[in-house]
Amino acid sequence: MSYPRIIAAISTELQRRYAGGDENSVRETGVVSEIIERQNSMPDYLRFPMRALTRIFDYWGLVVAGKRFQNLDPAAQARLFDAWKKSRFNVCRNFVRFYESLYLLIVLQEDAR
Amino acid sequence: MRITEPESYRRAEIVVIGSGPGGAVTAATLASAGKEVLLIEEGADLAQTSCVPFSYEEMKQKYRSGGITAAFGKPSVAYAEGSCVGGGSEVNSGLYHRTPADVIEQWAKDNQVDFFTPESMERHYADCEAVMQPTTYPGLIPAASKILRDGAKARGMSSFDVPRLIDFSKELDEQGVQKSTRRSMSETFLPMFLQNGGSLLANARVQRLSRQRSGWEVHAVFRGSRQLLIRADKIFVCAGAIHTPALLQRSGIRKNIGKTLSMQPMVKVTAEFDEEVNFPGMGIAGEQVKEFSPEYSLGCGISSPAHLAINLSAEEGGPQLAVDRHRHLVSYYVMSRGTMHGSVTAVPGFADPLVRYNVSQQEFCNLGDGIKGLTRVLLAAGAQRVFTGLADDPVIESLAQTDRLPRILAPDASNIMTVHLMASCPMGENQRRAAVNSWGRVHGHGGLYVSDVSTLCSSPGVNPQGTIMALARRNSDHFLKV
Repeated sequence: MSYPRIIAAISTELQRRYAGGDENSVRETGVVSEIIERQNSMPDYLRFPMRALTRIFDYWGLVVAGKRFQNLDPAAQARLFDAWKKSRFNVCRNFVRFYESLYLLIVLQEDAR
Repeated sequence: MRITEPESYRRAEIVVIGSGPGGAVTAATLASAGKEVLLIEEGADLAQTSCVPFSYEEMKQKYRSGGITAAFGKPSVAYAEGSCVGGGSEVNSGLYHRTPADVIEQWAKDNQVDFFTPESMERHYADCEAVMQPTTYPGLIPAASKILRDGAKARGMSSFDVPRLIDFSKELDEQGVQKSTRRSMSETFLPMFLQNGGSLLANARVQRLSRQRSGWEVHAVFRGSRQLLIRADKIFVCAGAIHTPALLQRSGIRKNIGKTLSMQPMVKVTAEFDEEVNFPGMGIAGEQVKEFSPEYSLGCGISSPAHLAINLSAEEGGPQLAVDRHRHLVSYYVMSRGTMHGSVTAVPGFADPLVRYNVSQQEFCNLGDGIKGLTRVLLAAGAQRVFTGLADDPVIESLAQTDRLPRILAPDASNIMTVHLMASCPMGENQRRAAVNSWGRVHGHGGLYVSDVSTLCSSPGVNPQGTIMALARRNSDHFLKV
């Protein structure tokens, strides 16, 4: 159960950044299930590292702010997200870019029409 | 399309694996010569109208792994492959080029490809063009094309409307440009194949091939669970630059297979204009600047709000700008000729192969040069701001500011992606580097052929679909003669 909660927390943070709204609106749009579905269709060699990295990201909150990412308040979540987005490590930047891109594709898909 | 029902066991004279440009042309050519051909496709059979072109829904339906794939390297390179009946032709922009004569001559020399000259390829290109009918815009060109054309002209460069594999309708879009639909394999060679008695089996993934005393066995799985066994006299593998070598490796065939993967790396640049320049359904406009070809090309990208938002996501407020101002934003790309060799490795226990590619210094130079040149072209065309996608210096507003753009792209400075992968099973008689002979037969394996993008000897520096089809035609003609 905890993995969907991490994805919900990441999606909520993205929702606040790019669309406004809260956890309830993320649930309503089905973003969480869509992201998990997309992850499940990724090649094995990307899917397993991405799931592992997502869990590391969640626990990184415990290291730097005393709580897992999913349990942090919105301001602390934003700081942790930004820290990874601007990290000097490629893997952290790619992690954020992956979720940002997927989120934007999902929420803006209707505009393509 | 008329789809064959799966049978647990069946025989076929020839099995073609993969229904993209290589497989469709091969299957249609062999079927029209009276051969009994079974064409197997891993993806689904979907109508062109099943989704909006260049949309997220299209990625989910028609791309392998939903379009989320990447090659490991420094940096990693995101790539996309079609996975449906018709393969890449169902999802690409349909830009049509012949491979330049000097590149063909270089391939023939380096890989010792027999009877391979620009003149000998002429009739194969012509045969395919008769079916595909590459064409340019008959009336107005899209705004994105006009911007690139005007900017290039102002900078003293030439650009042109690249012929495309599309059908134009009489209906006009908002900007007065004729609407179009893709002229893909499912609209051309695949119906010809079926009319000539061919059988098409979709949703069947070939796991491995095994050599028998006479002929081959194809071990496949239908819809992820039902095992199929197909016996064939001859097999053509046309599964693309990643999955052709992966299948051959899973079948125990490894000599020069998957060790020379090439690609054409791209970066995206977005321009903002005062006036409206982006219209619903614009798709990918066909204008390209080939001034620096074959080293790199400049062209038009996908400018849907979602793609623009992703392009601008590194910028503070970028995605919101993409939503609010998408009518004023257009996406372009710089595409480098691939110069480095990557690899494809089938890993036991994993369904997908491991793909590696290290972008070379030459490619970083090409991309850096290209970003600078494209930014200047867009500013000359009237752009108010150009979003370069560079981590350190993302926004350029004047020609003077372009001087500070780096000549060589730093590995971590931008996001690199590609839609053109190739050369993982190169052709030729030079057995130190070639995986298949001059006509696509796998060295050391009678009755087994490769006829797709993986047999190119290197990156051609242009969109490869025209050459894939012409080579497939050439290989099939030779097969029928001997």
